Amino acid sequence: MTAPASVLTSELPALSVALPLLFRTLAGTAPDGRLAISGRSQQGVGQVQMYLPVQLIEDGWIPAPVLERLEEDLWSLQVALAVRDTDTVGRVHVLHALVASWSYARVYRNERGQEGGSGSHHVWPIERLEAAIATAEGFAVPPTLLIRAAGRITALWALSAPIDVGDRAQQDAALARLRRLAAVLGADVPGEDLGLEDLDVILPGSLTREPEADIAVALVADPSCRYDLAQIDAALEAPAPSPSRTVRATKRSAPQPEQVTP
Amino acid sequence: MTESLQTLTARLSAATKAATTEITDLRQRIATAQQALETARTALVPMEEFEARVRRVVQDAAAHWLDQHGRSLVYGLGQVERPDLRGVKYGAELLTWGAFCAAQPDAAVTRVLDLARQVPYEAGSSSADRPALLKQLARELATLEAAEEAAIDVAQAAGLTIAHRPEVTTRRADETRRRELEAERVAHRQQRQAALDAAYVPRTRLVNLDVPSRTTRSAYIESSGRVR
Repeated sequence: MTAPASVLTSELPALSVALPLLFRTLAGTAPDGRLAISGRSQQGVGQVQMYLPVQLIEDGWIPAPVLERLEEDLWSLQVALAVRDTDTVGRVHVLHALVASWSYARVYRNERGQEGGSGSHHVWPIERLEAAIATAEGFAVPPTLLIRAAGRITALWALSAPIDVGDRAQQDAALARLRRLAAVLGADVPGEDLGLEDLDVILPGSLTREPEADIAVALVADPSCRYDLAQIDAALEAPAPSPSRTVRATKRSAPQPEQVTP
Repeated sequence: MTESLQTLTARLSAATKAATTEITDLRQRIATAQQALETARTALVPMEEFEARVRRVVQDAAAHWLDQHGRSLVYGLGQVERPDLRGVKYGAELLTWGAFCAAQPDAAVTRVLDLARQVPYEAGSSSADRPALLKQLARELATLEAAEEAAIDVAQAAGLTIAHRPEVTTRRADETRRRELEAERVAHRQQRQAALDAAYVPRTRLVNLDVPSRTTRSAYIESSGRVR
């Protein structure tokens, strides 16, 4: 079996586009603060826990520490969703983006329709992955970034104004909004035991190790998608987007088919 | 014809002389302004302020001495049994500058001022007024330097050979080098990002596309939402 031609010839956003957009989305235009980045190298001998000052984030550039890691090895890198304080270790203080993610396990399937036996193997549930992507894209406010890594689709919405999450009540409110977003989109709802500091996003171009080795890929990187909280909340009030292929309607500008005049 | 050439030469000569004179004048004014700035920066404070400083120094020395040795002095000599000066190092400490300031502050101030008055003293503006004065002089100097630099640029453009001041030449060379280094840095970073992009595409194909069952590039996105 060969892959569809459209897949092989598809244009994914380049890392030099997706990564700067990801960091700008997470850092916003905050005058100070740090982004927590963690990860380990492919060979398992290197680990990194670092804070990237938001002042070092430049439009159009992959931050130098991240560029160095990705150059030297296939690192598995995650960046925290919330911006941390500069003066207090580990304390989140502002949120510039909302996130939702869908996770999957591979399924044991025989593509010829037989149950088990010869020809059966583990495959990704492509239909569900596609349904998740379609749900995110079909949402009233399409995501700014869409990232696929092994077993997970992550959608990120950039906010035009940050949410303060410096105190407990603000963090709870932000988590409640994230849980509501996930519930509406049919994504993984963050557990009650999770805090904002536990939420992170895998970096495109980096390696996933669980459930298996894979390269995280940015499927969509659209800097024009930036929303007020009111827009997000209005979208959450609207009827839930359906993953069904018959009803999805993209909000993105799509190339129109050529008009052929007789 | 010869006469018109002579007239032209005379006019050019006059213009050259005028430009040279103007630039020479500007350079003299720059030198004067630099001198004024340096004088203002290094000038001594007025005598009243100097006296106040002396008094403060004497007070500080007295307070320090009393803090360090005052209690030792009274508790050493004030004991009922074995009165002594061990607490002030057998009395030698009593002859120090700090002890003198603590015992006779006015005399200490007078002594310092008597010494200072025997040295030539050229006072400038007070320390409170000094920053504003320095700022104003620096601004005047910068204006003159900019005018001179622009005048030389104009003269050079007109074909006159007049060298910039050494500091201008150095500064311009530094700026040029800084721009070159920045351009090199940007080009190098672009090159690194392009290399990363180039390495990223085969990796994504290797992982996602070579095995069709793991292809997760969305047909929905491929078709911009028009998949049926």
